[in-house]
Amino acid sequence: MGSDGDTPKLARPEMAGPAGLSEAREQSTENIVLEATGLTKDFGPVRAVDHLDFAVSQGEIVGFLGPNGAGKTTAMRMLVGYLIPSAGMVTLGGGNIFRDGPQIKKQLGYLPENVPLYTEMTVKEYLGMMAKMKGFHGKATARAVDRAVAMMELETMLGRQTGHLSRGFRQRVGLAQCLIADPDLLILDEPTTGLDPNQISELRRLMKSWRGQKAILLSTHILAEAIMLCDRILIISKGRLVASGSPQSLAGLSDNSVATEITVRGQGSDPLAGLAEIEGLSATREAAGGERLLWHIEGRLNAENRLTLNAHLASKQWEILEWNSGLSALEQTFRRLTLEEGDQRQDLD
Amino acid sequence: MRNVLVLADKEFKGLMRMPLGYVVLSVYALVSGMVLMTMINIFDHQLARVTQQASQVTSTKVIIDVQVVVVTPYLLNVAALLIFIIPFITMRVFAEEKRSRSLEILVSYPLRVWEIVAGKFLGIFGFFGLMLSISAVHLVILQFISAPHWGPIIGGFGGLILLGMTLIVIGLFVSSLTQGQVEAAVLTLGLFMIMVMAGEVAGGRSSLVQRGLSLISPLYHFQDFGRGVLAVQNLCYFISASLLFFALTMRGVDLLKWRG
Repeated sequence: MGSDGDTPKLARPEMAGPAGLSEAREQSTENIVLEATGLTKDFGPVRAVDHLDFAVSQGEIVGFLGPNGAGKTTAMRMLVGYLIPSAGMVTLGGGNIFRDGPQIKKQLGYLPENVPLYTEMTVKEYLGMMAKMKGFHGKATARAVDRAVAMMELETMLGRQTGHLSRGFRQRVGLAQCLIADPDLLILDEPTTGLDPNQISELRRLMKSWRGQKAILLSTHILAEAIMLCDRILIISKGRLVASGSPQSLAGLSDNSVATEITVRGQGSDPLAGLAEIEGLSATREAAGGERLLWHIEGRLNAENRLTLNAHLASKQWEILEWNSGLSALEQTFRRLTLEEGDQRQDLD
Repeated sequence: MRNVLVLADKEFKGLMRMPLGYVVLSVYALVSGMVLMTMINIFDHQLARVTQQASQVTSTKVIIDVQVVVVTPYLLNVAALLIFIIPFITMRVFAEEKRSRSLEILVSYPLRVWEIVAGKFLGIFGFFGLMLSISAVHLVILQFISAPHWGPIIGGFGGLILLGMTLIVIGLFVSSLTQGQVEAAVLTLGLFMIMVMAGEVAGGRSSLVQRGLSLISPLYHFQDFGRGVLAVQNLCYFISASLLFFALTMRGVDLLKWRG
């Protein structure tokens, strides 16, 4: 149990890893805070999580990225010790989460997706209770609460019942609960769900400020969020880890084609009817209403064929109303890996 | 142990701040008060009748035992009332935590399963103690009406405490298995009724099976306490049943970790 606010830090883990780890991961094993080895969960005949192997190092932000139902939440529940895996192991600071749980969970902060709080308690009571359960005593409890309150700017909400708070403040209280023992590892399940753009921006700023100090594992189905926040992304599909790497390296897995959407307006025959003449491009056309046409173009749009396309439209006297680059390379990688059947896992970085 | 007390405090205060807590206390106070008034009225009528009869025989001293006429029926009725009320104070303990996913946060903390179960039990038991304090006030009122023997009354209260303890633990067990509060309340009440009715169906019949069935009933084991009699087998029943269902509740919470 901690006393006077001094919570024990995690012991350095042994430098060992399961077979199949990429070279880059092996280079940072001494800083590994969380490690999942062969993590599998079956619910009857349904395999929800299928042999997940990954690690999170001190100071890095790692994103679980996957479509709804991919197994992200199930995986996180196993990582925090709420669900017992059908196979595999979770180590937190070198200790087994299920065997050594009470000792090592002091360095874990977890927030489920819907931010469940005890609605009949005030913010101060709730955080005080959670601090005590993390092992704080006496004045150290109050100091821990004050620190978390200051970090999440909850000073004006201390006397309010958590059930009466807005979604944004509930999220802040949930995060304050995570941070109350200044843990080494934060596990956040879809932390931006239900927040407005300002709140999302603020939360992202906070998480970025923790980079280098804490290990953060967050789940999201929003690609842009993963790109913006994460040092490394784990793409999960149908319970399996299909790719792992930095956003840049994962983008490199795409076929380098950029799907472009062009909305054009004009009169006369369809100006892009001869599009096939422009090498390497194929297009599908959708009516956008009135004189507008929406073209969805697949293929490499380099400088040369962009000029050709522009010249072609100008010669037909059609104007370009919108030009969207559409799917980015990482989006294409994500779509390819999560929509296609494939057994090959891609480990990058 | 500290975690147990922290959780108990949260559970107790939670009930006290909810409409459910006030409703339960009010209903308990009202119904048990009405039971007491009824018993006192019966006592008065019997006393008046016997006094009138005795006045015709000058040498007869009138004695109506308040223990027999008021205290024991009051305690037995309160025990029956607990069968119906306790499911409503235990229904949300685990079912609500599972539904809201707050149990996930709790499990991610450095807590052991027995600490979670013990803390919740203690919190609900504390609320139950508040209910019993209402009955204590009721029985103190008797002091102004007659001269009750406090030994049997204290023994009866001890029985209520043991009965409440056992019923609460059974309620926690059912709550640990269910996903919804209403489901937990109905199943707990149903289980209580089956345990009580098994004893009632057995009644006073002599067959071995029927006698065995009567031993399941918590009310059957409370009856001696209600009369002010402390029987060891009844004490053993309540303690062992409580320990059994406490262990089963821990298993119920553990089962969540397997099936989600």
